[in-house]
Amino acid sequence: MSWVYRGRCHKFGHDLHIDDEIMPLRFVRERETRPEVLSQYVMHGIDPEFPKRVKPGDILVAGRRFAQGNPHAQGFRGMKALGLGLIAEWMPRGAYRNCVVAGLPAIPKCPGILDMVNDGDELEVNFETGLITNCTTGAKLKSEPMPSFLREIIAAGGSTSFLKKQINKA
Amino acid sequence: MGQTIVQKVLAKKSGQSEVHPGEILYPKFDLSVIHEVPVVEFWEELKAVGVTKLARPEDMLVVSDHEIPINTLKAAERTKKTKELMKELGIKRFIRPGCHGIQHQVTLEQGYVLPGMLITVFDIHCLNMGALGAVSVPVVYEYPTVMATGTIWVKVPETIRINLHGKMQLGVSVRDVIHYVMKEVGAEAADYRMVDFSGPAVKEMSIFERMILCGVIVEIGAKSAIVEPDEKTLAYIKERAKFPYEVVKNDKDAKFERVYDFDISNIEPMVALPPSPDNVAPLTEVIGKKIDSAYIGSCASGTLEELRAAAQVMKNRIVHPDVFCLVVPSTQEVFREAADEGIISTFIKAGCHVIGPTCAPCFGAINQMADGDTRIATSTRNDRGRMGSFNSDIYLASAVTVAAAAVKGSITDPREFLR
Repeated sequence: MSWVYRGRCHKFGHDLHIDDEIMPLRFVRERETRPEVLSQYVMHGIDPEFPKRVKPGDILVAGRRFAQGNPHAQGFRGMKALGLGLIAEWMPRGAYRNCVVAGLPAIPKCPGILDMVNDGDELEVNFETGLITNCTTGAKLKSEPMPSFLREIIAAGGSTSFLKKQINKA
Repeated sequence: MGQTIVQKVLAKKSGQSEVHPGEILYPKFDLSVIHEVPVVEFWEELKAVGVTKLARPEDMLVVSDHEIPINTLKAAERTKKTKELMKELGIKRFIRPGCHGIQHQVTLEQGYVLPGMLITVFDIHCLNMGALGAVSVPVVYEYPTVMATGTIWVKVPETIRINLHGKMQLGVSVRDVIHYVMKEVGAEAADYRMVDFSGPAVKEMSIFERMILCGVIVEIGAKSAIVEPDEKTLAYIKERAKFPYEVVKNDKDAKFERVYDFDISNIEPMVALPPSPDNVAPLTEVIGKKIDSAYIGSCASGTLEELRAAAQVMKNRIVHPDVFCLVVPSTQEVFREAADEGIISTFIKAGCHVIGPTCAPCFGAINQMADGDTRIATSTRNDRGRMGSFNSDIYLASAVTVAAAAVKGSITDPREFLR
C-alpha cells in the first residue's frame, strides 16, 4: 500500500464520541462487520451525508479526544472502507488501537493540526514519515507517525489480515 | 532504577529483568478472559484466516454474563453453539449460568484473579482486577489474535500514582470519590497510564471498594489500574485462590510519571451527567431532576456493600410510583448473601424489580429506555443511546444516590435519608 494520501480535508472538532456520533451503537449490538454497511454510516450522528461527500484518499481531521468512549472498532472499519486517512489532535488509547485493528492509516497525536487546516483544503499526508502538507496554503507540519511495527499491521489491512499473513508465513 | 508493579509483572511475563515505559512487548498472559457472546464469532473469524487450533485453550476462561438470561432465539442458538465449540476447542474453564456473575467481579470472587498475575480480557471494564494486585489488559477486537497466538502487543505504560487521604463523609461512597478523581485528573493525563491507587484512605477501603475505584477509572482512558496488595488482599484470596501466586509490589524507588494527592474528606456526592462518565459535577447541580427509572448494578456496583447502602435508603420506604427501579446483584454469591441478610426483601418491599446477575441492562440489551426518558444508574457508561433511545439521558451516581432518587422520583441528596 502507499502511505501517501492526497485528498480533501474534512475537518471536525473536539471530543467526538465513537458511539452514535461517529457510528451508530446498534451496529455494535448487532455485531455488524460488513465494510459496505459500516462505510455508509461514518459520522452518522454529526453529518449523515458525510459518506456521500468523501472520496478515497481524503483525510478526516479531528480535534482532541477523538472517538472517546467504549472502544468500538466499527467506526474505524467504516473509515477504512471509505479509503480515508485520519489525523487527530489526540485520540485515546482505545481509539488508537482500533485504528490498528481496522487497518486505518492514522496520525493519532498531532497537536496543532486543527489550526493548520480548513475544511475543504487539499492535503497531502505521508503516514510513514508523519509529514503533513496543506497544498492549499503551503503549510507543513512534521508529526509523529505510528511506530513501524504497528504500520506493518495496518499495511496488512488490520489485525485479522495481519494474523492471516503470519499464519501463512509459519 | 526502581520499577512499578506493571513494569515488574510485564518484565517477568516477557522473560526480561526490567522493562521501561514505551517498550513494546509480547508477554505471556497467565489468563485470558472473554464473555460468552463473541466466542463463536471470533472462532469463525480465525477459521477464515486459516487458524486450526487455539494457542493455549487451558489458559482461557469463558464467563456467562452478557446474554443471560437468554432473551432472543438468536441468543439461544449462540449459547448452544458456544458450549459445543468450547468442547471442540478444549476450553475447560467456564463460569456457567447459575454459578455466574459479572466477569469483573466473579473472577475475583472465584479466585481466578490473584496478585502478580497478568490477565488479558476482551471487555474493558476488567480494570476491577487491579483491586487484588493483578495487572489486567483489555484487548477487545484483538482478542482473536490472543486466541490464535496466545499473546498481543502491549506498550509498557507509564504509571501515575493517586494517593487518597482522609475519610469519606456519611452518604459519600467510593463512587463519588472516583468521579471526583476523574474530574481532577482528566482524560489526557490518564490516557494509556497504569493508575496506582495508594494512600491511607485506600488502605482503609475494602476489596470491593478498591474494585470500583480501579474499574471506573477506565472511563478516562487508563490502560489499567492497581492497588498494591496488602493484608486485606491476602485475607480475601486466602480461601479462594485457584492458582499459586506471587505478590508483586512497587519498588521503594519506583518511578511514577506523576503523583496526585487528594483529600477525600470534603468530597460531596457527585454525578456524571450525560453523555460521558467523566462529565462530572457535584450532585447539587442536578437536584430536582425528574427521573423515569433507576438501576443499581453492573461491574461498577452491585457488590454486597453497595446493595447494603442502597437498602439502608430503601428500608421502610417505597420507590416513587412514577419510577421503575431495577436492582441487579453482581454475582450469585452476592445475591445469596443479600437474600440471607434480608436486603433483597427490603428491595422487594420497596417495590424494586430484582433480577439475578447480568451485564445486560448496562449496555441496553434489556430494560431499554424510551425517547425522552431519564435514568439514574450506578452502571459504567452514559453515552447517548447506551441503554436505548438516542434521545434519553443517563446520570451516573453511587448506589445510595440512585436509591434516594428512586424513592424521591427525582435526583436528590441521599444524606437526607441517612440522618
